[in-house]
Amino acid sequence: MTGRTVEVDLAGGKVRVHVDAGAPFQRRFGRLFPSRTVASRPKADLEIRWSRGSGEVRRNGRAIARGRTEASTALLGEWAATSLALDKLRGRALLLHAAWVAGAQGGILLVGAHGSGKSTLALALELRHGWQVLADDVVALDANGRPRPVERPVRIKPGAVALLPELRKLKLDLAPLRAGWPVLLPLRRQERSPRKAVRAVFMLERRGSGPARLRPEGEGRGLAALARHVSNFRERPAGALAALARVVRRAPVWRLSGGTLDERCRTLSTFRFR
Amino acid sequence: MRADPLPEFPRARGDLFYQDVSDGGVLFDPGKERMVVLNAGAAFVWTCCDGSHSIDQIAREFADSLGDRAPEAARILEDVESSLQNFRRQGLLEQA
Repeated sequence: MTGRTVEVDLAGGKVRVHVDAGAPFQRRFGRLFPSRTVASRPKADLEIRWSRGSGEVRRNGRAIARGRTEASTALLGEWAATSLALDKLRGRALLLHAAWVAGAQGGILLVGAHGSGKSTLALALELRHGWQVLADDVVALDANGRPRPVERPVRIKPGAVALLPELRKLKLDLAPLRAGWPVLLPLRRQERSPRKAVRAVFMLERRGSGPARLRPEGEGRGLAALARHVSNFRERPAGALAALARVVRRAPVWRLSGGTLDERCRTLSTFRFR
Repeated sequence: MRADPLPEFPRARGDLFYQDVSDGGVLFDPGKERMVVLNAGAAFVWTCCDGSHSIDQIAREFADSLGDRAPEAARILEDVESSLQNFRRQGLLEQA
């Protein structure tokens, strides 16, 4: 087998990926994960091949996805590697579907259904207000409710550029958006910093009419709301309830409704933590 | 329509998961995949539903927990019964 094997680490879920492709594709794929090392063992969990207009993602010697472009092959490879890492994490962490963003005063979690605008709002806070996106999609919580970012790249979806034109200034190939594919934006490598500590949780309702509005949720309602976004909640409900109770005790839960993207950004960037 | 009488010693279903929080409690019913949020009063009543407390005992313990803030006994009993009716309506108690 030619190419190179890297080990990507997503919140402790480690996956060895063999990339059988030229140097440009290897660099492109490697950049997607801030925490990666050259694997010490050659045996890989996944294999990604890219050569002359044809890409393939293989698992256990069997093709599980095929791409026709470098971008789509990298996207499918990222998806496969992240899915495998999350499978490995399931037994030892709660997987909360959330974005984690850190500002000058502390970190916040943005939680909401698919399409509620978590990624766009997280990126808007980073690009317009200097916050840092620590996780875009999944946050792993330990038994004490302490979060750890799953550092997969941000998925910029079609429609996001119209809301956030600043994305055009980043050195990204946005062409796949026209074909309906998301574009991946690697997270910036982060230094350890106390600002990351999660001090509030915001449940995002879909943007509707009216100004941006924040409503506090009590601990009970906040916990119940969060539980709906934990993908492995049902696998161990007692531990999940206890961990989430610790989260809502440390970080009050708010419901954010209405408002444009800019109004939501301003609301969060001027939010005063308790 | 008259509600069925409550069991003398109410008992919580054993397959439910309960978590205390500062403003009450949260129940998870794995069979129905449903969360139930309880206010502080209902959470207190829930934790007494162990099959060994009678309704009157639950009401007395609830009154004790409220101390000087406790309303009159009849009102407390009414609140406890209302919580228990609610638990039963939602299928959270063992069948008598």
